Amino acid sequence: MITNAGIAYEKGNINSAWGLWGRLSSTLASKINTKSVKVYITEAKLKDPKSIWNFFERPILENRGINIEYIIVK
Amino acid sequence: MKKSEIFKKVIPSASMQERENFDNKIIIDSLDVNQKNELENELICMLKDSFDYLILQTLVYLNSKKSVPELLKLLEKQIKDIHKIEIASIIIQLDKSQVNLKKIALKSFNKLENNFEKIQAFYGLSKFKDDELNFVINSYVNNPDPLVSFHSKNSLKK
Repeated sequence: MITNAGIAYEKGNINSAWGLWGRLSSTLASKINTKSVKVYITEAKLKDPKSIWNFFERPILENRGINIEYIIVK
Repeated sequence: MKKSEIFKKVIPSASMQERENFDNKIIIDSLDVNQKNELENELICMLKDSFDYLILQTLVYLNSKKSVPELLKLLEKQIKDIHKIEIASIIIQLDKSQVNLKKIALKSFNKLENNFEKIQAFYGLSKFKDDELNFVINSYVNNPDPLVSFHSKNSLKK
């Protein structure tokens, strides 16, 4: 399991663990080579503009024209 | 609720588990005036030896004008340009009379080389609601990096 290795997780701070996860997720989102993706996500993260999904992953996938299918989980 | 309990609930430890789905607005809204004052004083005190974005954002939510002198000291201590922009954007939301902050924010933004830091900085610059700074943000709308382009547009919507 990957942890934050003691680095503070501060939403909005690109140099915190939030930003590190975001950078990693951005790289992955830019390398997906399928036409569509299924996204398993909670309502809270779907609504949160600073969730990794909304801040980093979704803009890249949308820009690439990848179809997004949402599956809401609890 | 005791003072220390309130602080821990409003500012939990900066771990992913505690912060990922966290929003302290509901807790703050449930506090009475005295509790809010005590919380505000404690947050201001924390600025002396720690730097946490959640504390800064909470001070804005509390509309803590009395935190401005300590925030100005915190700004002076910063080395990283991205932190200077963030703190300047917090102060300007609390005290519009701090006109020199725009110059600090713009100078710091122009020194940023990393696109991820620029993305964060767009949101800071947009808080100034200033035509010149908005023009700078807008100049990135057609940037070839999709994240830079997206967040330049998105930050101007706020």
